[in-house]
Amino acid sequence: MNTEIIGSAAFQSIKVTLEAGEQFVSEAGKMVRMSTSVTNEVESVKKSGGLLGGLKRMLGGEAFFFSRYTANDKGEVVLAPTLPGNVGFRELDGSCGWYCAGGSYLGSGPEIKTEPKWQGMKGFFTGESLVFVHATGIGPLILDAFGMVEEEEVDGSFTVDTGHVVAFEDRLDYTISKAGGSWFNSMLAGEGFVIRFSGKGKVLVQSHNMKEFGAIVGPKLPPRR
Amino acid sequence: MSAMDDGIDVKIRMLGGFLPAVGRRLLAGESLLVGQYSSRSAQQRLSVSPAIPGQVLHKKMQNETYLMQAGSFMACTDGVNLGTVFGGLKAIFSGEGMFFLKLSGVGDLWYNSYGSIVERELNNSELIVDTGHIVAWEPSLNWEITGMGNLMSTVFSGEGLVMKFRGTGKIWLQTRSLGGLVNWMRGYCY
Repeated sequence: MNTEIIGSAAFQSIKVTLEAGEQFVSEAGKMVRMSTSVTNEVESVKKSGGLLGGLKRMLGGEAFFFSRYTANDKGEVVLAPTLPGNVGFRELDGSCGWYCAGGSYLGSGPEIKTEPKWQGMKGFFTGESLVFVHATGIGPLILDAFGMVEEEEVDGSFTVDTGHVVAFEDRLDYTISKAGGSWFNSMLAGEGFVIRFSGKGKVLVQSHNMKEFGAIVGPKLPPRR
Repeated sequence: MSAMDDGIDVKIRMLGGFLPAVGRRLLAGESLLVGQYSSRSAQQRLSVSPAIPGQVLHKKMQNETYLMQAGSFMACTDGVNLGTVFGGLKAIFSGEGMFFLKLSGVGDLWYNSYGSIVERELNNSELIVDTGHIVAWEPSLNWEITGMGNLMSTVFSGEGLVMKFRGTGKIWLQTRSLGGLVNWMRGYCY
């Protein structure tokens, strides 16, 4: 299996080349093109965490279903995110897993286990990351983002707005809390919630915030009929 | 704010004081609140990012003054004074907000656009700009918000309101307008 990020800047996508017999999993509905030698099967909810797992993923901004690609002969699959932004790629060696926030999970190798993790009542207020997808195992993990991604090395403590977190290593400790100031100020300013990381590890931060962009565009749209 | 180190304190400040901020929120849906960040120790990192995909520009201000569409303001350092200017009743219908920001003083200013930013310089001349494409301008210019022609053509042309600039000074425009994006998205609202 070989993965290659294609395109540049805000319009990246990813090309996965599979050898005969190899498999790849992605969030459903993200496929751009694939070879005829590859078959695409929508994963039944049972195989990927059951009905509850599917619901949890939806709450986390992910699709309810996964797509599983199987190569009968050497072939390619190209996947692309919905919003303009970087595509990230991490090769997991089994020593450390990643939490994917805000619907950033795009795809992974067949040996990667993805499990939705409920963030408790605190997560409820953050809106965009009620559930993180916990990816563990060995193989490639593909992430998408809104805007450009920067990798931050945390050593001590670091604070990131929930809407800007793409993913982080699971060896980091984290708490979800409000951004600052009083509750009244927080609400009035529309300042959301932040994740406070502590320990040692990597955090991927995206330059743009979907919720913020949606909050600007949304009120200008006509109401749903 | 998108990310920061732990040694930074945040305070929410309302431009023009509490009552004007609440008034603006109720009237225009824009509170013009700013977060004020101060560090408790040396070498603290703070990331600030725009809400809209586009360009971020930096200006070193040395006592000049700019008027700016509120949505284009991103961040500034201590010495920059932030005030608000009422855009007039017509601004209510422009779809870009009723208030403009007035920036003056000495310090660093960062502002952003939807699309990229284009600079135009007027030398005792005139320029008409769609309100949705305005980022900022120098107060040496006379400006007014007006319709393109008569009321009928304003309503039906889809151009909405425009800003007429007259005199000598610089104007910064953005190459895309949010109104345009919204109009396109309307086709998909069902």
